[in-house]
Formats: sequence, structure tokens, C-alpha cells
Amino acid sequence: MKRTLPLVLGFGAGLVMLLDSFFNIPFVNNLAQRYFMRSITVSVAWAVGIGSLNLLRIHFRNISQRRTNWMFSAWLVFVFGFMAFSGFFLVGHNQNPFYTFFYSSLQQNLSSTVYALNAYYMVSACYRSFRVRSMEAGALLVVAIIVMIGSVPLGAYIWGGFPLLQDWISKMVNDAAVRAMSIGVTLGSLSQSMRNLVGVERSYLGGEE
Amino acid sequence: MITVPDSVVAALQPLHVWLGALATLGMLSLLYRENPFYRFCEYTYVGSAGAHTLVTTFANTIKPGIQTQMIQNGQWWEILPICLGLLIYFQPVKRYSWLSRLPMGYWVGYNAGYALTMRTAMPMLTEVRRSILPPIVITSSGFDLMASINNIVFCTTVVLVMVYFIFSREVLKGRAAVLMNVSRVLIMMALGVGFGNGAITRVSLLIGRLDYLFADWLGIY
Repeated sequence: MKRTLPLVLGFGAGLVMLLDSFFNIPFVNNLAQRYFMRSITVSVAWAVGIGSLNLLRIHFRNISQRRTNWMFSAWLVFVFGFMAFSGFFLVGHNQNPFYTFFYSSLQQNLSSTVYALNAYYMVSACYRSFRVRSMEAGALLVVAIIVMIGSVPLGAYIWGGFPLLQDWISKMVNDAAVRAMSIGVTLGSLSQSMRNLVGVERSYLGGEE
Repeated sequence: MITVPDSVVAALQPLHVWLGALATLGMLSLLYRENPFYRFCEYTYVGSAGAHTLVTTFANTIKPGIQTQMIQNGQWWEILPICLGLLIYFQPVKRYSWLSRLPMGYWVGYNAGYALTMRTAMPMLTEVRRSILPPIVITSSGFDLMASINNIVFCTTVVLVMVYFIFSREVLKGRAAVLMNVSRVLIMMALGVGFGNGAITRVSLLIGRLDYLFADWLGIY
């Protein structure tokens, strides 16, 4: 029952969506479009807190057991509590100027810097992996360099053909390869969805009974 | 509900750029080596991001759902999906953790059914249709050599990349193995485009951060 019930529930939900798509049955269409679609939004929204709960569990454990860097865990819990309290209890919630002040000054800047830091790691990865060991590696190296040079004004300054070449490779080779990959991904997702629907794939239910 | 006086928010405004600059410098300090300042900023980021997700979901979905859908429109049936969503919180409780599988099963089943409908198949069929291009392009001014070459390159690339993913190495032996090698080069070229674009995007973000530090914070230019 502990494993069968979720499978039955999932099969029922999936079946209603399939029937809604392929058949014109007013009761099923209404059930799928009015109730099921909305129920997904609502149930997912109420379940979002599980991530925060796990985050807090881990850091409370760090604090209680005085693990390495437990002070930072305490700071994380404080920041979490402060932002959550401001967002939940201030007028306007996430639109409140007090909340948006901390969001825009801290969260936005930290987030942009984390993504910007990737530039360093990409250059570092370039240094380690861009050694031409095979024809494939050479193709990646040459194309990546053309794309990078062709994307900046300096590229056009060096040779006017760089932007055109970059555009041609992007539109012809890249678009075509990505399209073939997306067709493959769609076929894979269709087969995976079928496995999920009929209950062949059960790994998402966990290993325990 | 609590109201923060405007004077408090106005008093905080001068700190805005300073907080942003310190946060930026803290994160960038990782480039030197891992240090307590970076750790402090990292934990601030994780804590505020977690809280922000929660607050945004509450303000944009949960609260309007209760106020508008349930109380105003009388859609009290929404209590059922709410209860279903809340079952996920049994996950850490060992004895009742199986209850958290119910919402999981519902979400997976719903999305599987949704993916199997024409909503997924249609975009794929459109992609297939758009990939079949004429190898000889004749326009009003005559034969267009460049467009023809482009179409041939495009179609060949699509077919070869699909061949690479659909057929295994065991199937394509002998001369046919050459196709695999060509496909691999084409895939690597596509990955090179992705890598180049990714690198450029990240560098532009880095320039944005440096611009923030030098222009907004230090006011150098």
C-alpha cells in the first residue's frame, strides 16, 4: 500500500491528462483543466517549504553539535529568519520597501557575483581542457575561440569575417545539432514519461518499503 | 501586519551601495582563496535565497490562493491539494515518511500524462518539419548557391547528430563508423558554440560587477 497508493494516484492523474488531450469528454476536460492544473500549482506551492526545512535542519544540527563553521550556520539561520520574518509580516510582503532594500542590496548582488565568478572557473577549465588531444577537442577549441572573438567588437576589428563566421557556425552547425539533440531529448522524455505513468520507473518513490 | 516607517527605509538607503559592494567583494575574494569573509557572504546568500523563495511563493501563490480563490470565489476544494502538498513534510518523520510519496506520485504522474500529450509531441514534430529543407534553392533571381549549401549543411548535421544518438557503436561498424566520427566532430562544434557563448555571458556579468564596484561604489568614472 505504501508504494502502490502513490503509483495509483500518479496513474490516475496522468490518465486524466491523457484523456483530456485526446478525447472531448466534458467531465474529464473540466476535471483536468479546472481542478488538476490548479491543484498542481497549489500543492507545489505548499510543498516549497520542504527545501527550507531541510536547510534549517542541517544548520541547526551544525549549531547544536558545534561542528566546524557552526558560527556561519548560526548566521545563516539568522539571515533566513530575518528575511522570512520581513517577508511574511511586513505590509506588502516581498514588495515592502524594507524587504526590497535587503533583497536588492544583498541577494541580487550576491547572486550576480556568484554567476560572474563562473567566468573565472570557465577560464580555468579552458586552460585545463583546451589542449588539442584529438580532432574533436580541436573542433571545440577552434569553434569556441571563433565564437568568443566574433561576439566582441575586437573580433570585427581584427578581421571583419569573424562576426559573420561566428553567426554562420551558430545558425548552421549549432542550431542543427541542438535541434537534433532536442528531438532526441523529446523522444527520451516521452519514453520516460510512459515508464513513470505505468509504474515501471519507481526510483522517485525511494528505496525503502 | 507590521509597517516600517518611511524614515527607517530612507535612513537605510545610503547603505545600499555599500552593502552591495561588500557582498560583491566578499564573493570575489574566493578568487584569492577560501576565507571567512567569503564564507560569511556565501552563508548570507544561501540564507536569504532560501527565505526569498519561501516569501515569494507565499506572497504570489499561497496568500492569493487563500484570499481570492478560497474565501472570495468559494473554491474550498483547494483544501485537498493543500493537504496533499503538506504531506511532503512527513518526509523527515521516519514512521510516516511514506506519506510524502503521495504528492510525489501525483506530481510525477500528472507531469508524465502531460508530457505524453500533444503539448510535447507538437513542438517536436515542428522541429522535425523545420529541419527538412530543400537542398536546391531556386529564388526569383535564379539558383541560390549559398542558401543551398547552408540547407545541405543544416540537414546533414541534423541527420548525423541524430544518427550518433540513436545508433550505438556496435551497429555502425566498418565504413559506417566514419559517420560516427563526423557526428562527434559536429557535436563538439556545437558544444564549442555553447562554451563560447557561456564564457562571453559570464565575462559580461563580471564586467557588470566590476562596473558596479568602480562606478556605483567608488565613483571612479
